[in-house]
Amino acid sequence: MKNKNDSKIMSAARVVGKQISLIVLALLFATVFLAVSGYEPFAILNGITESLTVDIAGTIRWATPLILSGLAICVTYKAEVFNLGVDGQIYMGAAAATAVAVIMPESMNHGVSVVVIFLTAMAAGAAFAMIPALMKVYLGTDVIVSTLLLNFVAELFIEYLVTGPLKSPEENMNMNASKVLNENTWLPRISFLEPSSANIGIYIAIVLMLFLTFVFFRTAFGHEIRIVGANPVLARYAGIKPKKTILQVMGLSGAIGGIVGAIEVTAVQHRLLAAFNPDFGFDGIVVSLLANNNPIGVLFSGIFFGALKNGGINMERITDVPSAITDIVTAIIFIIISAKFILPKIRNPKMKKVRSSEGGK
Amino acid sequence: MAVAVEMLNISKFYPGVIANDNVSLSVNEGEILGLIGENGAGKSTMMNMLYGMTQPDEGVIKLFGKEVHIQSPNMAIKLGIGMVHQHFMLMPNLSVLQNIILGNTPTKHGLIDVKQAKNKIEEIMETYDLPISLDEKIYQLSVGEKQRVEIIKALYREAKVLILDEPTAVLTPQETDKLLDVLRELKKRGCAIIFITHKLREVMAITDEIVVMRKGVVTGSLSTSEANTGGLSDMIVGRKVDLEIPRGEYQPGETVLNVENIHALNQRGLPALNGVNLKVARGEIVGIAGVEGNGQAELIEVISGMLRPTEGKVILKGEDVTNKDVRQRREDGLSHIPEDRLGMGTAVNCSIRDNLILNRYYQRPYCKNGILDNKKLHQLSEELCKDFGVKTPDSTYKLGTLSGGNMQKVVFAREMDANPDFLIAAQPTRGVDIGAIESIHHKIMEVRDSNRGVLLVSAELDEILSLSDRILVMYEGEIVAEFKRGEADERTMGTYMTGAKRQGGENNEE
Amino acid sequence: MSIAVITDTLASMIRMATPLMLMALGGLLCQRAGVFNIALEGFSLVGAFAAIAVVQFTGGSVWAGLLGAMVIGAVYSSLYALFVTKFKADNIIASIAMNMLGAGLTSYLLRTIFNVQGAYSPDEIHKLSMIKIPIIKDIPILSCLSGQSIVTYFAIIMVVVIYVVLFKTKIGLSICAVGESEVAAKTAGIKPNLIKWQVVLMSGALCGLAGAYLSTISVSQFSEDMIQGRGFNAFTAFVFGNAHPVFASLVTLLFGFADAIGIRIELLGMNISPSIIKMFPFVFAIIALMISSYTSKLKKLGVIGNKKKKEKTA
Repeated sequence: MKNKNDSKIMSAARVVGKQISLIVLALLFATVFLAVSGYEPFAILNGITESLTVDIAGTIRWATPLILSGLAICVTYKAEVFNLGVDGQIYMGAAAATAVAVIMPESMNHGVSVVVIFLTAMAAGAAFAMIPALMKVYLGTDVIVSTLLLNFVAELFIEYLVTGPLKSPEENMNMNASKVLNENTWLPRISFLEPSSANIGIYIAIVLMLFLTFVFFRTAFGHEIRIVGANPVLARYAGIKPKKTILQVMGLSGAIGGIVGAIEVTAVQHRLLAAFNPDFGFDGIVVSLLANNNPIGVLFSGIFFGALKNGGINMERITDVPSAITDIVTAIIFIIISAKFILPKIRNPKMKKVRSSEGGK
Repeated sequence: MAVAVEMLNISKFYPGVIANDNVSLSVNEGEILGLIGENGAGKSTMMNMLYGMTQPDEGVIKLFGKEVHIQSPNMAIKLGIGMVHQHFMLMPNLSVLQNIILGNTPTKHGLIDVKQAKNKIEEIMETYDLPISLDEKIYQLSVGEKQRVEIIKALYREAKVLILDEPTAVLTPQETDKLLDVLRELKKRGCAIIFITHKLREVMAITDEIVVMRKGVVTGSLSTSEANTGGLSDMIVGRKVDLEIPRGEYQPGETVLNVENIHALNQRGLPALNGVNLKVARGEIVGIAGVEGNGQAELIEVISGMLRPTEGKVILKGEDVTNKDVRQRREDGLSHIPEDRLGMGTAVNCSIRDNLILNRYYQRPYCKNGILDNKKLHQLSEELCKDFGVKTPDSTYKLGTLSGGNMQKVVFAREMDANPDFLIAAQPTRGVDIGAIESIHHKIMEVRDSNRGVLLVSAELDEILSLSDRILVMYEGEIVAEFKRGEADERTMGTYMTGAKRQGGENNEE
Repeated sequence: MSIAVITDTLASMIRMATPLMLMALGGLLCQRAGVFNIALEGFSLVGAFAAIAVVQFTGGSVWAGLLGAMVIGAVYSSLYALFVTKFKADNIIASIAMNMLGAGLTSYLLRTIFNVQGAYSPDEIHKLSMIKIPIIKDIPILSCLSGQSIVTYFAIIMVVVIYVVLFKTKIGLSICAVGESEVAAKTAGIKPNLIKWQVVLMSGALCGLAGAYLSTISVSQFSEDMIQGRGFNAFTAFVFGNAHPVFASLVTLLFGFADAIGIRIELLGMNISPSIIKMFPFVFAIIALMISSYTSKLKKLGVIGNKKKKEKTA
């Protein structure tokens, strides 16, 4: 028994080691890239180090939406549903949150109004995710393309809201935004991290992470997700309904996306801004893939990308290094993950003997 | 006659596996070599090396006396080697013509010269009597026609050496005879042929020389005139095989499955089942014979609940289950060993445990209020591994680490664990070695002898004949003949399988 | 609506459709060879940037810009080709990575080379003159075909060229074969990876040109968000057009029409938010996607399009 646990720890360590070497590789690329283009080569490394030490607050601010987006992604990817529409779900969650917050009377109890806002945002995100999910289930439409297109629809819908129905009544405002929300609708920030906009959304992220870990590994639903993802034909044959599972995971993913939108509106911006979302949904894909779609891993991977993002922003403020370098690092990690050569299937050498009867295949 | 192919002292190693160890064989022009052995004996690896799909680690390949290093199929084709693969290498949505000229396309002013290609192909079709319509898409062809395309393809490229990998596995006896005629014609014209099979009757009928392989080495090399089937099968298996499965007396009990007038459409929306009636009683094995693609797969899907029939009824243990879903039928006592073990029966990237618990994970005591009891599930899967002899240190290993035979044991374990009253076994021994076949046949017989019903669907006539109490023949979505055990032989069944004959009036009335 | 307005709208439709057409052609070549390419967006963005950079450094030559964009687009796409062939990368993930890298790189280089953020216009740019086609230019309505840029005519010629290459030549047959079954193509002596390299580089060049069209012909500047989902619309177009060059191009015209109508509405000063108008092509694309999956489902179920009923069960 002890032996088995040891080998499990070993193989987990191997996975983590691989992912870390992947990060190192990408950072190395970026450092060389900076040097070649005549910037301070260690700017990006300094930025990350700073983010993980003195400016942990900034990191938490960025890590919160990234972890949540990563969770929204990993729910669907476990079931092999390639949902690229988390960004759209975030937008819709934000729109719903704002719409409710705007009409929420100032006298409303703080806790109640925040809960109502978040539930509405979750419902809106889930409902928006149902569009591609239903298209997939009833028409067989590829989720990848439909979600990509719906992202643009959602983004333009927000633009419409903040230039139209939800436009701030303030005069001479040259930004597309709603009015500032009443304080009783704000999701509290973490007081000891002020003045950063780091907020209690990080606790929501951690609770959700634990919840999903439990769902994946300890519930019948988690087992169904795994089987549908591994082989939908097997699922059908065994009496699991893959269509139902697809709808469930998309709904769950959409609800989590909605939470991201609500957090950005009620805790960070305190208003709805036209382009408040710097593609958290796409970053969520990297966050989740780097973590092998494991919720616990998503937490750490989300913190890393939060630090990277925060480091990039800080770096741009102090030095002349463009923060776009962080997007390049993310993209490099992304493309390396896509290649199978970095992550060969981990197979126990002991098992090779058993296979030998298949030698001629 | 000149030597066409020599493969001398060939070895091929895969990580942890020796696929071929010092294997030699040769074949002359105008000669047919039979290469026989079990699945995994290393025959296909040898041929893949000759066809340039992979390269030998040791040894020499000579073609017409000259040493060659065949780096790619392209090179093999240029050297005059043609191969008809077991799984057809055809593009379903391209036309027959496009498939044939692929890789060797005549052009005129940069465009494909369709006329020239057609002339050449028509000449081949005439010479060897291989008629086929060139403009049809591959997916519209029958299995036999697809194979014809493969042979024409090789001839079109002027192959002087032709490799056929288990070409008769998918053919009816009549189609097989036709193929053997074509091979004789090719032989007469000086073609060297390597014929891989595990059907000894065909080997005896057509080959000149025989090479037997087992576990990567040659266990026998002899002239066909000196060979006999008994000796060959011993060489194949390495021990005496008992092909006769002991069975209890035939005492059919009450009807456990009753299928009434089933009509259903296939995936493409075309009629696949046209009024199928059949009954399976407790204590009997009903075998369904037929060329693949005559509705067997759809019939199984209808019975197991994966496909809704357009008409008709499925009655399980006296209860109409036509509108029940898969899970309800399983709970009512149906188990199903699917034909496509990797595609339908298992998830290779999940653990052995995940695969084993599929019938149980949502039920008490393994699951309460949607929360799994991982301890109990683990216990269950460990027990099943032990009881069914799955060779693995631990059921948390990925299923993909198992051999084909062991995977099949996992499927068996899962399906038998449900303690079924009625078992569907589709191609239960496909891709498993002879040793495992024996034990699978014993297990199926056990089900029958413990007074439960079995529906056996198999493309292997031997299997159907040796196991079934009653045999039904399917052709184009209908049951065209019924035989009692011992009433029929391969040849008579073959005439029904090809639709050449059918038993008169209503089919399959008991 | 007067004839002049109709002609104008159609001309604007063709202008809008041109980059989509180029991207869709590149994408469908990949699709035919079994490469799932949703990196059209990223390839085009790099092309748009490259064109402006080349224009700047050649003292305003749009010709050089167009050519440079094609070359640099192809070079950029070679990274994608490398990953999908050599490293057997997951096509979807690698595509998204290429889009992300394209956005990051262009934004980074914009800062590094031109020291600006968001957008850049070259100091000098010699716009290409539009080509007037004699006779056609005087025919009402049809005259929308005249007065387009050289790139538009090139795109139309490419539709024909790619049609012929795909369906009438050896290389086309090889491309389709690789897309159908890589293993089977290999046994016929075709090198699937070589084919994949060719189609991906081709799509890179075509997308590069599409991007250059947007930055040097539609407008005279590069801005970071200039592709605006056109790559995804182009993708939908060739999916809807069944990866057939002619049908796919007709679909891009449809999307172009949605764009042109939007502009018309804006010009007419109707009280519709520009954000809603910008949604048109996407909503169009989603509807197209739904229709195409619905019809292919019906086809699969045999309700429509089964010309040859005789199909044997096999």
